[in-house]
Amino acid sequence: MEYHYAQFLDGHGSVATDVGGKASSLDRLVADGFPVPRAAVITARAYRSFVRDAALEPFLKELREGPLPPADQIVADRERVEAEFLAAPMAADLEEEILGLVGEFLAIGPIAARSSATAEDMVNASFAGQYETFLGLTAPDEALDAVRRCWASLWSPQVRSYRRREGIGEDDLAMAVIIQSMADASWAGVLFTRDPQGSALDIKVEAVPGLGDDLVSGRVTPHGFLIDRATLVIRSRGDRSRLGFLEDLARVALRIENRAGAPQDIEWAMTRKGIQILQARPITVARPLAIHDDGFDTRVGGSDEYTPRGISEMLPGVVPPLLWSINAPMLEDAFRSLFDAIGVSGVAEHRRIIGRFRGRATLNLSVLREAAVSLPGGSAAEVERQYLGRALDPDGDESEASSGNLFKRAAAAFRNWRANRVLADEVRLVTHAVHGIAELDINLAKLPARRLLRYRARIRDLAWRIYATEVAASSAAAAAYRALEVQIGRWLGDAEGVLWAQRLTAGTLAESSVGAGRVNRLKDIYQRHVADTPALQAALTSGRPDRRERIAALGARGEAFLEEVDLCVRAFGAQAVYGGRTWNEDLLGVWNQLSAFARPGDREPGVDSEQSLAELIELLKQSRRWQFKRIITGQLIDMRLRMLRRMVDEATLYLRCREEAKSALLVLGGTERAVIFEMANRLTASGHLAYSGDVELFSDGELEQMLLGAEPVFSQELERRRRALNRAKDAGPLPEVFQGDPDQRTAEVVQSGPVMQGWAASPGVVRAKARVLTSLEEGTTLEPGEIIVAHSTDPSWTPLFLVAGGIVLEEGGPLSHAAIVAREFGLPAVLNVKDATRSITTGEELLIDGSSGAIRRIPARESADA
Amino acid sequence: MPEARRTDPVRDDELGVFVPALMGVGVIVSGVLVLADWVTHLLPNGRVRRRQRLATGAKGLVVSVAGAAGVDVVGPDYEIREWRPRLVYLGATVVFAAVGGGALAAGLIAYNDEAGLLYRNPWMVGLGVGAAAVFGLLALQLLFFGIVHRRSFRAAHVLVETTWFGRLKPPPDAPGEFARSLRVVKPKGKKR
Repeated sequence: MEYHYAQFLDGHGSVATDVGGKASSLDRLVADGFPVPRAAVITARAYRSFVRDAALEPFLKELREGPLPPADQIVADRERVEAEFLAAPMAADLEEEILGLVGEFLAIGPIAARSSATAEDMVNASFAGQYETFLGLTAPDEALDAVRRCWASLWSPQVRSYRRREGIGEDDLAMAVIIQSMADASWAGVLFTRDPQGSALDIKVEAVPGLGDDLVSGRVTPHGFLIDRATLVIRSRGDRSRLGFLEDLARVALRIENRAGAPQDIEWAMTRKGIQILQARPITVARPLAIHDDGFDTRVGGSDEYTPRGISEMLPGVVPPLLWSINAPMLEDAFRSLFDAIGVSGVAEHRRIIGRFRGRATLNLSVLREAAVSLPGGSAAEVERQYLGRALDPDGDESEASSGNLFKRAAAAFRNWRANRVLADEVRLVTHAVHGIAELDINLAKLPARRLLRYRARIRDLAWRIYATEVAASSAAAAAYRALEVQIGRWLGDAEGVLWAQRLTAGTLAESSVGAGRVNRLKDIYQRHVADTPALQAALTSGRPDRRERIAALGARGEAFLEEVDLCVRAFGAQAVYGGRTWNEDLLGVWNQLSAFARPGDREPGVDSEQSLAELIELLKQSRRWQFKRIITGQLIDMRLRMLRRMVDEATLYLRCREEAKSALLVLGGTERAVIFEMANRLTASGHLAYSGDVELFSDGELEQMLLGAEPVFSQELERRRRALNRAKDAGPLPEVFQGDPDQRTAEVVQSGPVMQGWAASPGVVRAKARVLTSLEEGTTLEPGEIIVAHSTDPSWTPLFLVAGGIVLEEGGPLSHAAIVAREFGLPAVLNVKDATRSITTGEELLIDGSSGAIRRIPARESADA
Repeated sequence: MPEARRTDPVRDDELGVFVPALMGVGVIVSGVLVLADWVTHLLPNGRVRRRQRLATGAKGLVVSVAGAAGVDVVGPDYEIREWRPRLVYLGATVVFAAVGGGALAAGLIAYNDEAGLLYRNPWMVGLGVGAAAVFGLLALQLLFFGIVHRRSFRAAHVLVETTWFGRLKPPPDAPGEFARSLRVVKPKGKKR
């Protein structure tokens, strides 16, 4: 039989506005391969058709607009609504179709009818237990009545009250009904992947023998179990001897949570076929949302420590829901892939690696530390050095380092070698592919919605791959860089090791990276056309909006210059970071950059790594001890120098790989950004979005569903998200390391003395005025020679480095983008300066020493005298 | 009580073999490393082949993404070989002809050398003629390539592009260069 008002939930995709939240979620479970009993859904279209044909609209309008009944009238009100729906006439074709569908299921056995409203199972309003479910239906008429009652439950007084309390609009609501074969359950119950009343590190399971309806209705007291999410150790207050499947159930539940990206409330049954999932929806009662939480933050709880360090280069500042929902799963997966590759995947089992607090991205430092300790020779202190720039407990450093026997060390070394072997190839592959894609110039406006989504899915697949490569390259770079530091330290002492490692790896900024590539091209254009033409210089630096016309008016020279600029914009115009604008969107960045070249500068050249290596080799060779060892060991060629060169090459290679992978990700970000804009434009045209800029407030899934015709997210919800994001921005950066709720942490003391200390990232001394920048957009205010003071930077900031006289950042270590670029450009830089943006003010004069890491704040009087 | 003298096996070389042994190992390892460097330097083909494979893989990714948007992308076959310089073919012709001629001469001399162990042994003539034929044919082929070079017919091009007659062609190195080597051909339409 062909159905117009029904569809089977076979995992081939369904839209929540057609089948309701619950059915849509079940369909996803089927698609993801979870065990779900056979089910179909009578769609919202059937409900709408029924309401229209039965002329129920005036009655529903009365319910929508009228007051809620007093407490003593609730039962009567509910019965009145049910009576209306039961008595209303149903079109023959609809009735025939419903009876046909339930007949198909009844031929196998008893069935269940479950409500699935279009406003249900939302992130912050699950409507759990509000709508009707009917179990054990055995006759077609009984099932038909159940369907009508499910429809009626959309308008029950408690549901109307819930909607009004949550501020959920009541226009165009609809109810679909799931028809599902009854599971022949020996046990059934509910499971929360995070205990809503207890510890967020526990799974809570409630189970009853037989069907779960007694549990849901509260007629029986269930057996309760708490399962540790990390170890799956079961604690119970009831008899669990007959529930040997609990661990498996917990595993399935965690997989469902992992797929959904949020804690889940799952109804399950244990049948002869094994565990069956009856429904899954997000938990919305775990805790009230914090004032900064837009609904996408990581649930607070547990003993893991988080840090924003290291991840803010990829996901800087407050990350809106759209960017978070796109990037977080990819980053999480990238770390898990790396852990798998190096054989430490166990430490991250059932734990998040990437978190979001106050809208900001964080890394689970505890997991990273444990992963490092699991590796022979690894230590927690090394991880802290990499991400925080220092070991939190320097005394405990060496004692913590795990040793492992020779076999384990060899196995770990082999795994690392195998993981790193293909890294450079993979980076080359994805970099080439990304540039090929960026130049495709596809007319997105002409693509049908599904094709646009398919195109985006392919881009996303590639982005997953690049994220994994970037994380692996970062890890390899960190290891290689540290090995170089340690090796030179053995020969010349620790301090020298740190210094020489910096110098030897300068010059690793990839030419193809977003920042360097396009800025170098502009610089070349400037040198050829503008540098020797004062009239062109004047027109360029005029800062007037008619700059282009003024340049064109200069004749052939001006035209040729504009032509080259246009070519450059065409080549690089689509590239962007997720947070920044592309040149295609805004040409001002190009003019600002060109104007910056016109300003005089007396910057020293950057560190030359080749020359540094030659100097180091000369220094080592001068040592008599070095020469003696060479002779005594019969080295016709100096193997230690060979090893040194190899280590430098390796560190440089992996650092370059990391920069290139990051840049590839940014270029692909420009392509994805274009797709998102296209989606936003379509949703604005269709009325789903009031303002296309709101697109960042939606999750990736919501956006996709809306493009396929789903209802828009309620405006109150959007407003709540917007407010939470603004509050998160105002709340300032997260603590360097925190456990639990970052908001509960006492404010740290701000460094405010005349001298501040940070990590010496790039040698050189500069005295200049400070410019505090909280975002890339503020970079337009940067004057040539000023010292950039910021929280952190990413590759999109590279153009500013050409204008700046020095860099002071609150974050960053030896391998951060800022450190590498600063050394490349010969910019004095001090990183990891606590509270720099809070204690330094724009216009204040600073003296920074990139060799010692000291920042001296020049008093205003002294500054004026100078 | 006199202080016990600390010994250093390297400085004192009490065993008399320690230092030479250590130096010997060092010399051998050094030699191996020099040889390895030389071999790596002389055989760059592995790297070129790897780059070719990567370019092909990258093209596959671009084609797949573009295909999702209904766009066909084509690009060169990055794993193809190219013509060597004419002089190489001519030089190789001389070498192969000389080897073939030498093999034939050696076979005949051995066959006719009464003092030799292979006197009147027909196998030697057979081997000499066989080798001369193979090398001679190759020399002819190379001579042909040397003379007509790129103006040759299609089958010769295929032979050069797919066998060692041609040399490995490095794919575009810079990502931008690679991107420019690809071309959008036409939007995919529904087939009627």
